[in-house]
Amino acid sequence: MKASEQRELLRRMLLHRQIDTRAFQLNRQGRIPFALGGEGHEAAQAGASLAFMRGQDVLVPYYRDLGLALGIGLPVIDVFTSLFAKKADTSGGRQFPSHFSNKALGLVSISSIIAAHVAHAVGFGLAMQYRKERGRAVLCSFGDGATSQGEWHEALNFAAVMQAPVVFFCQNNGWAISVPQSKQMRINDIADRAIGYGMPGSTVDGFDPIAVYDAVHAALERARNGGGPSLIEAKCYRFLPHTSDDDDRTYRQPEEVETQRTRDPLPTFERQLIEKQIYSTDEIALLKAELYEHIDQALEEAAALENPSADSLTTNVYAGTEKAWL
Amino acid sequence: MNVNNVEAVRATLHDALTRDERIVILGEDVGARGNVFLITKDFLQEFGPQRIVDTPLSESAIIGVAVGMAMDGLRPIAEIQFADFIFPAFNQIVGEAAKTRYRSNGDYTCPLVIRTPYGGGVRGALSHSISIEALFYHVPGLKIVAPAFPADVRGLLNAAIADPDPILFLEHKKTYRLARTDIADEAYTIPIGQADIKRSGTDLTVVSYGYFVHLALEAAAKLSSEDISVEVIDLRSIRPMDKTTILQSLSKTHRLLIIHEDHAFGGIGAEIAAMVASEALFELDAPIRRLCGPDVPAMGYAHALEDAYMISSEQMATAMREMVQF
Amino acid sequence: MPATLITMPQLGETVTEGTITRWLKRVGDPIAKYEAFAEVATDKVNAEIPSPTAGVLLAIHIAEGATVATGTPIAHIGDPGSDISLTPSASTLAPASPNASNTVAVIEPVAEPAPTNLRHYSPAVRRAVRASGIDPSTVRGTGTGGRVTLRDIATATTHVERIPLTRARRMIAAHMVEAKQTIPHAWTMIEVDVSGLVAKRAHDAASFVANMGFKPTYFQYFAHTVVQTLARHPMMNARFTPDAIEVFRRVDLAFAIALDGNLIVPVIANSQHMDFATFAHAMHDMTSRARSHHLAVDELHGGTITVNNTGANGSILSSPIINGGQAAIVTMEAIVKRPVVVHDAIAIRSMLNICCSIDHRVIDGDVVGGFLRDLKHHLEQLHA
Repeated sequence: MKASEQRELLRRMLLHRQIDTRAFQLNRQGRIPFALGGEGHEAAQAGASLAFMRGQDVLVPYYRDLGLALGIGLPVIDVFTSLFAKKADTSGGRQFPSHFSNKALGLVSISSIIAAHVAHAVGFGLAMQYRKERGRAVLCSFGDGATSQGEWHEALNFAAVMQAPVVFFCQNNGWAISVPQSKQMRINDIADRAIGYGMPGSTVDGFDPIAVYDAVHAALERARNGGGPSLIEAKCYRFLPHTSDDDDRTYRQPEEVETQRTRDPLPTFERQLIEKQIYSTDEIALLKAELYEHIDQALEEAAALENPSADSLTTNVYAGTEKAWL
Repeated sequence: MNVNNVEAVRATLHDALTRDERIVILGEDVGARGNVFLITKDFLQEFGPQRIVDTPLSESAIIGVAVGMAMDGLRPIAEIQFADFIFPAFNQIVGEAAKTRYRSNGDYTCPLVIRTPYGGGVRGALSHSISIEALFYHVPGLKIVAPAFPADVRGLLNAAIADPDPILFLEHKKTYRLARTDIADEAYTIPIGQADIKRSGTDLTVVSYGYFVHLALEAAAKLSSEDISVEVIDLRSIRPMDKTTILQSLSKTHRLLIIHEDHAFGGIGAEIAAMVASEALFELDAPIRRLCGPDVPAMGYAHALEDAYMISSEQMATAMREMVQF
Repeated sequence: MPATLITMPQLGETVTEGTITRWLKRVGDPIAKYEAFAEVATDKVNAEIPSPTAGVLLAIHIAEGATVATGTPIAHIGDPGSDISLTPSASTLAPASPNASNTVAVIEPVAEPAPTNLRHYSPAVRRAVRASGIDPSTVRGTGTGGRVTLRDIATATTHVERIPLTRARRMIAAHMVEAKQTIPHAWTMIEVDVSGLVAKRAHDAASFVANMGFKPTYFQYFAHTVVQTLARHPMMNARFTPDAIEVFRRVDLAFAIALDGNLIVPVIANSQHMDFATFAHAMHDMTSRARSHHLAVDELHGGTITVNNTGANGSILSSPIINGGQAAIVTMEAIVKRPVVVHDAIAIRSMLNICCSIDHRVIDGDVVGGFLRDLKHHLEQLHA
């Protein structure tokens, strides 16, 4: 992989980590009611987002995809307008944080219903297929818990039958809130599910951004060229509680988290780039400072923006102004 | 053209497929079989498998995929083979399709038509007979139409296909081949949310929809020989609902009888009664009455059980007579 | 022994249904044979129904106010403990008429007695009351249990009183339209000098009152003379059928009485044999019983020709509509004193116009002319 791409991977991972950090800080300050972090997912999302072709592909994400959203071009300020629920947020302050939507970027609006979006990804893929838009594909992301849902199974089967150009990207962090993978399924590798649908499945190290990039890139290329869907499982870990409202000490040992922290992809990848002489320690320190400056500027800018008006509650229910009673 | 309801649906779908390349039909058995009621007969040969999509047996995925297609600019017309089978897709309709525009603040929309046959009186037993409208009409963001006459079927299906929001298009099975009428050949539309006075009268307003409009008209005709003048309003649209027509009629008759096949409790009639009670109390010269399906989970298969569930035109006439004599 | 099943009687030829207006007896009350136990209203008449048997009213099957087809079981009368089941039997439960399906033929339990004073007015009535200032307790309610309906308020406050069509009025209307549309009416009139009749009535009055209890009326003389005259003009007493003209051998004289806004037409059967006193008595008796709603059902049947006292209110010319199933109707107009030429001199005489409508399919001008000529002759022969 080119050095510039590797530098970009690190930049994306750092940006992701730093925004998460700020979001939790804002929550603990009482400035925002809710935050949802992706620590431990940065490498998987940076790698997958690098394989995404802007202006061509579509991303149907899930709620822990801040890094993916940023990676395909979501402006930092949009993250904070979402966190502060400002009028300028693309949902107008309606959506929960981390439910980004930006049509121009190909970033699809989702709900919080686990796996409900997977069939939508198939629909986007089939629309591309129907319009014979070769060279385009859909990247659909979800966690390990989503694969227990009937909707997920229906969508993957549907995509396989139709040979829809969709890459199903599972970020397996081992936990569905408080329930470990062992209580969700009897298999170790979620990618094993792929064979049941008749599509390729592969498992990659989700802490290795380059490995994830390679796997997702290959799968997207196959999809873009009419080769049909694939399932990729990126094994990672959730270092943080599920959300700012969760206390993970109630269901997992701190030791488990500490052990996983020793594999944290961020210092690991930093070290690798320094070893490869792609970045120096100082350059990384500077990059981190620049990113924080950019983030904090966006944060304060967003905080100062207008809140949505109460009137906006009733807009965009329908295209017109229909009420239940006409 | 001289058509029954099946042919009205088929002709209208055929016109739409011919007119608009964005239209795709997907559902179970819509292809080679031509739909279980032969509504899409021969479409596969004419429009091909990309547009007439035989789907896996996955109601949730049918709607989920259609939602994705609609978000990406197609105009999918999804079919749920029987309304009784729609519940696996409940989340896709209520949680996803109906909220797409709202949650993205108008960025994404979901112009989706969901066609489904509903209703009893056809020996369909527990799972091929039910009415589903009350379970869905609670949902803002969704529109529901239930035409019962060929001319209304054509006009409202055209309106539904042209509508930029998700629509549940209910086709009562008992009306499929009930009557033939001459309707216009051109692709006219009937505004969604507009009721139709199927018979004018001065003594009593009857509000109904679906198959029971046919029976209510029979009963009203019978009562005219007793000098009882009954106005029969066919709602045609369940959401949005036409308040003006109901209130105007009531200001003439001062008596309101609501008839529907679906259960009374929490049904369409409850909402109408509440609206009238709050907006037209002083028009009422008699208590509002609802004549509805019994409060049991479903109609049985035995003739006697089905008959006991369905309301006859004689029962309707008796209720009308009692209302007028009150 | 089974109880006697009482069904809704057919009160008149064209009647297909009846309304129980009042139960005169309650379940458990003893009833003598011929004792009235219910009041029934039809399009023609309000009648008390006499019991066909002695016994106890065992069951009431139709509630007050309900309208049922003729032939529908309405009650059981018999000995206590008798069988009062409603097992259908050919004689009692056969459908009364083909179009009886429009009526409620269901046997329902007797309704709870309705509250006589329903204090709760509907919202619509309250609004109308506020707007009009009318006291709703003064308004006659036509709804369930006498409830005052919005229409009742509207009727009470409008400048145009809207009178709902009663069944009787609807039937009258239907019969009139049918007669007028199907019978080719021809009309003629004759002038009669009834000075002699005037004198005769004045002369007869005292002895009539003494013997019969009432004063004879001009109409009684007139109607009796019509009956007498028909003896030589049988074609006037006939009817048209698609296959034949049917000439009646007896004169069942129908005479119209206006009553409570309704028109009823009792029939004096076999009137051709009656002397004047008998005839006058029959007419007097029927008229007074009609006014007290005590006419028997069969007294409203039939009629072969009709007379009408259109002059009672001063009319001197009218154009009557023939009753269905008859060929002629004859009116007596007002008797007025007029200067007329008698023996080439002007004299003051009591003059009467007689108008006659005929079914021209049955009667030609010559026939009615001859009849009127003889009627005039007979009337002018009367004298004190």
